[in-house]
Amino acid sequence: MSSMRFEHLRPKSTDELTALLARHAGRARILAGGTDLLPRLRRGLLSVDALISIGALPELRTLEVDAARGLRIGARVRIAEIAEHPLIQAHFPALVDAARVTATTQIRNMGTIAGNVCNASPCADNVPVLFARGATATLHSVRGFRTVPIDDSFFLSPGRTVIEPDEYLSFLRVPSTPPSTGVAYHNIEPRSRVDMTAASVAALVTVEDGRVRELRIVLGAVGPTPLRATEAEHALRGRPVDDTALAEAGELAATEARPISDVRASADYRRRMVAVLTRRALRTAIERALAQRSPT
Amino acid sequence: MSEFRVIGHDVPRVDGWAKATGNARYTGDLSLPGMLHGRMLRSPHPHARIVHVDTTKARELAGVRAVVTARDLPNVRYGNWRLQPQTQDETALAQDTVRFVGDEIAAVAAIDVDTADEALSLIRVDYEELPAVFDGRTSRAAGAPRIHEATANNVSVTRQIHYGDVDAALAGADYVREDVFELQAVSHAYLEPCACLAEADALGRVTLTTSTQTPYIVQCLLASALGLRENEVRVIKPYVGGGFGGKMELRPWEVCAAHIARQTGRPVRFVLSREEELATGRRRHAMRITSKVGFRRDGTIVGKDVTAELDGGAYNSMGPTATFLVGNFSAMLYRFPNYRYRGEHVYTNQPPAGAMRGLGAPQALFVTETQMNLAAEELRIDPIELRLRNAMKTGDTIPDVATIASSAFSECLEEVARMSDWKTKRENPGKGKGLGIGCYSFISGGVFNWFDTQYAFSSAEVRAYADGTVHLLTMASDIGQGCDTVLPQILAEELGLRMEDITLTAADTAMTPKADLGTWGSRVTLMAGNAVRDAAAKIREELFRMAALRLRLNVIHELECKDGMVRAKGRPDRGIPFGEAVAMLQKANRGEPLVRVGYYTPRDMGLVTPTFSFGAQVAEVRVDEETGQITVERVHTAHDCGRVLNPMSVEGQLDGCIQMGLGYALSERFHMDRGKTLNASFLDYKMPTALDMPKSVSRCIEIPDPRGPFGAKEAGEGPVSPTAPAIAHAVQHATGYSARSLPITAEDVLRAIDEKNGHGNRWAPRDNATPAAGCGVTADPSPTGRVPA
Repeated sequence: MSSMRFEHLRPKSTDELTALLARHAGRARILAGGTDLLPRLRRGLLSVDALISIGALPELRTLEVDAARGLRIGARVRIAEIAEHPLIQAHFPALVDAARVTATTQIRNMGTIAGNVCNASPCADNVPVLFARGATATLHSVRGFRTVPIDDSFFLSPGRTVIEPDEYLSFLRVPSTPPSTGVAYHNIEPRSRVDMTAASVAALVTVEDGRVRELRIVLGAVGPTPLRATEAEHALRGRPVDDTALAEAGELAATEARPISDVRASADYRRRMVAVLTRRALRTAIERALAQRSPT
Repeated sequence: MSEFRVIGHDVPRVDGWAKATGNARYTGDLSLPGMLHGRMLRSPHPHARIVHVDTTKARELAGVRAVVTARDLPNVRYGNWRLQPQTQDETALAQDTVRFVGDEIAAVAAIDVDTADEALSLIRVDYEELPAVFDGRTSRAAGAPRIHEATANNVSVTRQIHYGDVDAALAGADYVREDVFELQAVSHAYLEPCACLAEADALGRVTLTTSTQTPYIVQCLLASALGLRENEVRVIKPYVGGGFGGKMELRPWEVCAAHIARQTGRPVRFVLSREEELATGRRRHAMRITSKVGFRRDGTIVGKDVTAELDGGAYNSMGPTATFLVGNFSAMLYRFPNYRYRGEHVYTNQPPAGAMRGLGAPQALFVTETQMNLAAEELRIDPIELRLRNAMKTGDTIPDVATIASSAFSECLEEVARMSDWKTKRENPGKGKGLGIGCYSFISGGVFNWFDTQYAFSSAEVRAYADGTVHLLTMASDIGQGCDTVLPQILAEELGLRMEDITLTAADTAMTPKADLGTWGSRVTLMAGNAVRDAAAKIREELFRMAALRLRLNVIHELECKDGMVRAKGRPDRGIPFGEAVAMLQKANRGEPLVRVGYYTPRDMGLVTPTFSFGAQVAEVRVDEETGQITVERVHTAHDCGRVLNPMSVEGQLDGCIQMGLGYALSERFHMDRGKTLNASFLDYKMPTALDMPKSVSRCIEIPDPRGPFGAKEAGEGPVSPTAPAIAHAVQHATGYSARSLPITAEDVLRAIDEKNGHGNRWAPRDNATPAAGCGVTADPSPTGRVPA
């Protein structure tokens, strides 16, 4: 197929990378793990003049983990590295929840967290947690660099983000976990344990004196982009942590979802699952918040 | 300790190492100098007249070496049912009509795959679209478009079975229930897509290496399609990555590859893509089955009346066999003293259905077993007890069809009840949990000669050598099921040799004795196994003659081949090594090698099979009552496959069957839109993965069968059927949802739980936006059960 004819470029420095991106003006794609990009090219869903591999850039390979300062995840860090990192498991467990259910073992071993973000699939597993945790992305071009939040302003529509054609994402930054705070991710793979997520919820909850002091609920795969369930958050903020409050938040979140029907699940099912998953994610997040607070 | 040295032992697969290390070369791995790469052009329309095909631009593209359309090929219709030529309804390339999305129109061969693909996009086809039909009921209704000129009402095959007085029996029954079931089409999803590599010699004779289950059938039909004589075509089966019934016919790319190889003088290879396989490959038949079954108050079955409508898709393929077998399998497992079946195979504009593991049994037994479970509930008899009261036993007959040569079905039922702790767990399953049962019976090879061969059904040649080795040549085709291991096991046992003494050459129509009808209908172990035994017996007879002479044995001595010796039975001191006996015999015969050919053809064994396997399976499920998700936690199987020749191999077959049954029950279906497959990838065609597999526990009830080699019966196809009804029954136990169609989805379960909890309106009607292939999954026909007064 003509869509499989392109140049393969492998810059040796980030300056060369930005220069190549500028020169190809939107007709190039960055190749990291390739797990989404190559199948799309092969099926003719995408055509490019050039693939620019970042495989020769060691500075994008770094993964810095620090419980106090947060995470710095380079663009080449594989999903499996997040899923299996003992310190991330200890201090950022929701990232591990999401990374572990992303696609298959083989894809996790090749695909990158940054790629999962840039691909902007509505059902990307790693995005809702990054969003809930207030993660940022740093973008570079010949024009300089900027840092943008991974939130609903980052994703424009399925497959589209605020990243300009001449920019690349160098690393993601995840802030440290605030005190008395837990984060969780729950998803539904409706047809098999290896399936695309049909609905997912990430929740961040700060608990104080048995009440929800602050929280963030992010819904995945039930809208064109990840959605923040602000009404559910509003309803739960300040309330005591009990099953009724969590169930109500779940019902509200379900009304905020904007799901579609497809071969994976019907819109009705997705919406109903948002209620269940919200409740479960809040419950896990609260348990983690309480565990974090207890003396060790 | 076993009386046997080789059979009955866990002999590792002879191909296991090569496959596990990636050294096994499949057709797509083979490459020859100058080889061209072929691709097929397929119809985008479900039903259309081809007005004009313009291949000029494709031919002019640099790198293209051949473009073939129907005009370039002999006008030959082919199909597996040579016995009834009117059923042979396919040509390699569409002549003037395309009948499904994916119907092959042209083939291109080029220097690489990308060029061939580009050439496909340059072929211009003008179509006149025709009205199309997508399910059996619409297709056989008056005024439906005719799909094949020769078939006026689109019903291409009708099969009937009838014995006893069904109407009287049902009228006199204490309890009768009638249910309508709709079963979906599913894919074989073999891991190796179809592929072939053709070469031609200077005289135009063809060698075709192809991923097939049936080299002999491909040889015969390919010769006829090209206008050659049978033996001007040589077919070689290399390693094959699964077939499950989907690779047992001549296919268009095989004809095109051979034709182009003859035309260009260059080797040509075709490898289908996964998308082609899922969107256009053969499928299991979607069926609508209506079944009425009557019982006496005590649970005794008095009669059964079944009608089946098979959605055959655009061509007959193995539909004629399926149409009969649904009737056969609907009468299996239990004694049905009065029985009537009418099956119709209906053409539609869906991708053609074909043979798939179980051919007719998964559908028929889902119906039988679900009805048994529903009847047990209404009759207030334990489901296993109800089965025991009706179970088929050795010697039972199905009038004019078959006699049960051996059956340990009752023993299987009792064993599976013990294994699963049935009584206790049925009473106290635990919250969100359920336990269910499904059973099976299957044929061990078919006796009906639909291919109309003049050869023996199976053959085996054995060459014995003075160095103590023997060479086994057979056309039997290992497609992953294990006959390359089991047939040498049988030979080693028969001749008293070790596995490493046997060399195997298999599945090459020019090198191995004709014929073997191929791998289907669970026939190979029984039929090729018996052919191997026949050849071995002939070899032994020669060796015994020589040994008796050499050892000056009294005529009262029996002889045996054992432990590498030819010896007097009970007198191990009086023997000669196997190789020495061969050498002496050859010298006596003035140099003639010791070669014998064995044959097997079932005769006087009814219409269906020499013998049936039986088994019972219990599934344990856990249901998440909030998400509706079903987890199958454990599957218990007790099966009667006669004597087990290789326990490890039988266990592997069972695991594979459970995997397929699990997909059929819970996740596999096609999403179709006017004949177009919307989920033609493994991302969205949901086959269960290793992570979805339940724990499996199994026991074999070993009662040697009189007709199988060493008493063996089939083991790899029957167990594909019980899993779906067992899971459905367990889901019903856990949630109250009783499935009349598959797959059971989380949404079905939630709806049932809502109804049970009394808020039926909370849940919207089932989303009907993407109906499955020929399968109205919304159908919820209510049973018309009469409970005894």
